[in-house]
Amino acid sequence: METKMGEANGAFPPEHLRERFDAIVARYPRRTAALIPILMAIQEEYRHIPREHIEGLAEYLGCTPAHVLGVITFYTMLSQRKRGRHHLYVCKTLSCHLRGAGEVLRALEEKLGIRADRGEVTPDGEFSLETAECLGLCEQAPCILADGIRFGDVTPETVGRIIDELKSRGA
Amino acid sequence: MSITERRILLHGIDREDSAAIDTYLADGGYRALEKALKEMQPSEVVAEVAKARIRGRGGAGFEAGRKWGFLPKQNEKPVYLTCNGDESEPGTFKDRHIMERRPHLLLEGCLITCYAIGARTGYIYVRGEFPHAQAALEKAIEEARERGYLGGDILGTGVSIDLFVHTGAGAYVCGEETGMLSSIEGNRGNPRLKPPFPAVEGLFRCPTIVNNVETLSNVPFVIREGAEEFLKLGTEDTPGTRIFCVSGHVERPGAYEFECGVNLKDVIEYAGGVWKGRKLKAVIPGGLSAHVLLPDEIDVACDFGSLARAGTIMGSCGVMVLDETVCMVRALQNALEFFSHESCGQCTPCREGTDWARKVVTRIEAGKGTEADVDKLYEIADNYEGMGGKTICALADAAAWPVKSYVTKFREEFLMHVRQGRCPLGG
Amino acid sequence: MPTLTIDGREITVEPGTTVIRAAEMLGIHIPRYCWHPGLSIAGNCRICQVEVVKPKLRFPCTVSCNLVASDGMEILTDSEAARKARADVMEFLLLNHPLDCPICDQAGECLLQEYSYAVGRDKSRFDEEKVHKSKRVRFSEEIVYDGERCILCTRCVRFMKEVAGEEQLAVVERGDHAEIAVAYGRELTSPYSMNIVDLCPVGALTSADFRFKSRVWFLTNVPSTCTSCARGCSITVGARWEKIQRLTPRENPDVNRWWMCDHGRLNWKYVHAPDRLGKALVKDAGRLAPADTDEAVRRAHQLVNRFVTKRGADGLFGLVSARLTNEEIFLAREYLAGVAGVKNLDVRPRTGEGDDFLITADKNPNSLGASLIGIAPEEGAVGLEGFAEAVKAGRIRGAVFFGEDVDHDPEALAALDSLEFLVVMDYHLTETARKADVVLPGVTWAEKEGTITNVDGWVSRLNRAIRPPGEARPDLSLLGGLLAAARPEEEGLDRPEAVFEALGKAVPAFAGIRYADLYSRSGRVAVKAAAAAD
Ligand SMILES: Cc1cc2nc3c(=O)[nH]c(=O)nc-3n(C[C@H](O)[C@H](O)[C@H](O)COP(=O)(O)O)c2cc1C
Ligand code: SF4
Ligand code: SF4
Ligand code: SF4
Ligand code: FES
Repeated sequence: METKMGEANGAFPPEHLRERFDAIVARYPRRTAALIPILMAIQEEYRHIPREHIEGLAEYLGCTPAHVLGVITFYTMLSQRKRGRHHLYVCKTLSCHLRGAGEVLRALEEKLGIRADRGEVTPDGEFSLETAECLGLCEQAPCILADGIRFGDVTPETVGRIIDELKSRGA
Repeated sequence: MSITERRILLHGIDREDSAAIDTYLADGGYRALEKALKEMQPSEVVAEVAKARIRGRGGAGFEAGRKWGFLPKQNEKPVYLTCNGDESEPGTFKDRHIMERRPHLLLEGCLITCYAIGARTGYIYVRGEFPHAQAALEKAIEEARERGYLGGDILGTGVSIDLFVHTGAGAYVCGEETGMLSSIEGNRGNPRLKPPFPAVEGLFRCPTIVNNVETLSNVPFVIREGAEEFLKLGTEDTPGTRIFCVSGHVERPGAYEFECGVNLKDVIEYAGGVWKGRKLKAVIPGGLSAHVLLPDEIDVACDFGSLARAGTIMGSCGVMVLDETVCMVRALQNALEFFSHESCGQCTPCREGTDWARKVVTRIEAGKGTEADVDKLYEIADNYEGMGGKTICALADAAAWPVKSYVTKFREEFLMHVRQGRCPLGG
Repeated sequence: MPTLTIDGREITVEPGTTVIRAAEMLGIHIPRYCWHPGLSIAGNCRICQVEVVKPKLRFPCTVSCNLVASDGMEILTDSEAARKARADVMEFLLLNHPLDCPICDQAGECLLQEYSYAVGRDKSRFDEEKVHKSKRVRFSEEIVYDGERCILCTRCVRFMKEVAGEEQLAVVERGDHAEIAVAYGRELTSPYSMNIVDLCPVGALTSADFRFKSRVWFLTNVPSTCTSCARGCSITVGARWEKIQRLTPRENPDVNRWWMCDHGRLNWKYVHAPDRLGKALVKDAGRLAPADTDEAVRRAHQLVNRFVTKRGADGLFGLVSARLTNEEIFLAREYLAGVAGVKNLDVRPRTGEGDDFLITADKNPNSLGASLIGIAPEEGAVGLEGFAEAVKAGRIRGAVFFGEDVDHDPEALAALDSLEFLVVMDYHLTETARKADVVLPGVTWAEKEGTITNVDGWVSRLNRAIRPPGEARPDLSLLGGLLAAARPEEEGLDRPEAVFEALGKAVPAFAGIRYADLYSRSGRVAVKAAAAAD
């Protein structure tokens, strides 16, 4: 079930995040330095960076909306499109590529019925898929990072179990 | 020859509770900090670290102590330490092991360094894809604060140092030290023009020292045991140990700590050798940026100097092993997908050149290239590689070395793609 | 101070000077896209590479815009290595460029075109598909962006942040997908935004106002000065077919550096408005009818002369515009105060919003000139404020308005009906002019020559960029005609240069400035009026 909390309504910072954001801001001599950690927190909370929050965030940190937009679009973990409740980063860089990342990705795409290169989300909003550049888990190649959990030595045969595990954990 | 690990940085990581402060303290943790704070002047700490000649483990191999010496002598501004835990060089995962399994070692290194350089605040930049490392460090910071090793008036010495974790959000180029500074300031992770160098004008326009996680994790040993002891490890060229990240086609990929100077061949053997009994085709010894080595080139000592003489780099110590089934054209395509995707896009040669090279190699891989394309591919890379002259940062060089070395050493394989109009390996 | 050699020529420069600037001092132009003297150094385009012979660096060539000159440094800007480095950059830049020069507004002043002739390769080796990006994005009512032409030099981004003072533009995305954008639902709101159109070294930013109007090489470019506020920014008037096509800022370190405001840039349409006066008008049987200009001048003087002879100058009010040139104001004063003895002299103030950059609250371009020359009511005399009252009271019975009107003030406008006579000189038919007995057809700033004195005392030149309509004449010539009518025995005074010289003799503030020094196509055009400084 989607909680009300998951919906952005434009007021910034959202009440339930204010304390956390204020604490992040306090770590730096300049407010704008908190931008990326805060964007990461927003991404986690809403599964994307809601457009309605850009203006408020800019004002909160004392920068411009254009600046915020420039930053959002620079970092691959920040997305303006809403991701699935479970978002899977599938590493595709050389170490994983060498050990079958391509097959793993294909198996996942088939299983979920969505394409990674199109940023698709399953119709029920549960899963989305994205290829990632080296996740730094090369000793467990091919690897996947999903919902902050990492899965190593994945094979096309084990992707089903990963999906089940993510499902069972809920959102 | 069979070799053995020398675990100093990775000491005790097999233990379940290797990250806990009590485990660390039981192993003599934070004694170096106490020694530095209570028995040494900051300048003495700098001198000791300089004497140990810890070469930068981020990849460039610059001596940490010398770098610290570049801080302006007259300075009114705050000084910052930024610890580089971006670890996004493909094939590299050593810093992750330290941060997750021995976070207090890194904290102690950071604290001693802050004391040495006069920094009141340090930021540990951890890439966004490392939530576990971030959590481990956050927890360690809280533990250290509770025990009085971090925060105000550390161990009653009057010295106050704060450390914060700063998360990245997905960008390789934020591992470049000035890209990292841009990112901490809340900007796009664009590397900055040098000069000015960070030691003079870095974070928030203040003097800043940037060091890699592994580099800083060597500092407690140097202070506790003394530079002399450190110099006994490794080689004259590169004292100390290094964590070798072995990945790709070996039986037991993993992070292994050896004294520098260990033979590359032995490292690969230690990781179980080429998997499935196959033959070795190539080794990339220092992260994806490094020039590739052929099987007959891997009988080489692993330190900065020896690997440079072998025509490659020690880099981040990410050793990627490629077996006989690998298509080198496809491997280069994979590498260029990475670099062109990760170019921040500021500099014309890097922005345009890496993507051009990617398009050309993709065409060759698909069997649609010409012989001229193979030469062109090399030339494109040659035109954006500039050792710092042609571009703002070294990402362009990193993106040129694979191209130039693969095309040179595997030229025949590239040409076969052209002649046969497809991958000769069936890939 | 370090001494270095560039292409074998020695130069000593201030510490901290970059090689690109040092070269400029030697008259050596090093190609540049991202570097601009008015912005921070970005060093991203890499076109300005030069060979560094000494000191030996790790690389043969590097960018001259971020290379600080050092003693004994040896630089080659045109060696084989330097040429190759630049040719490589050109090749990279043109890979994804649409090369649509025939339909690009920038053609003719595009640095991409210019340098590709100079340093580029002749044949493209690029066989791949070009990257497609946003086209025709509106950054504001006035500014259109083409992402495919953009070379990502970030001049526009830096201008908004550093000069306009708000980061309203940003680079979005990264690598070769990067482009420039405004935030969602936003537009550029800075009153200086349009400077980015000039700054853009290629045709990625174009002005909606100028777009597709005229190929730039058909424009005649005349240096002049903006008259829309008291800053007096140096500008270039681009004209064709006797019509203004655009105004662009012209570098002037003392006044506006490289910039101008959007209002000033766009405020020229009135020059071509249909209500322009192309002919003198003289009242005949209660209605204004066209007349010969010389005849009208004589008639105007006759009215003034008769009035003064009959009633004395105390009943006469003179309004002199602070939009006129120094020379015109000087002749107006000579005529009104000198010949007729008028004490009731004033200007019409104009104020609006100002800022702490260029735009002044004073919207008259020559207020300082007018006050230095002495256009102000004498003690006890009638000024513009008391004008309507004084007319009602019968104290003022005649008036002469040079280049000015009172259309803004209904009371003053109504008072004009009770005057015995009114002479107006203006470039268009104002409500005020409609009530005049004689209307002399003057011209706008674009059609005449002269000088104005800005808020800080810098004197800058106006130059004639286009022909005035019909029989309209530069105001100076009309004023000279009035003076000649008054003093037939004296030598006529209506050439700007001669008037300026006379002004220098009469008003100490202007002494020592040579008119000829003020006109310059490239260099400094403003000379500080000594007295204004203190
Ligand atoms: C494209 C690029 C990526 C880099 N990535 C990293 C990285 O992930 N981690 C790191 O420590 N250094 C990285 N570096 C090197 C840093 O710029 C810098 O040299 C290093 O952090 C300095 O620390 P050290 O002297 O202790 O090695 C990178 C450099 C470049 C050019
Ligand atoms: S070399 Fe590439 S990554 Fe580095 S600053 Fe230039 S464009 Fe960015
Ligand atoms: S729009 Fe023009 S000024 Fe702005 S970055 Fe692109 S090329 Fe440069
Ligand atoms: S600031 Fe004033 S003088 Fe300058 S362009 Fe704007 S209106 Fe004209
Ligand atoms: S002008 Fe020097 S890098 Fe662009």
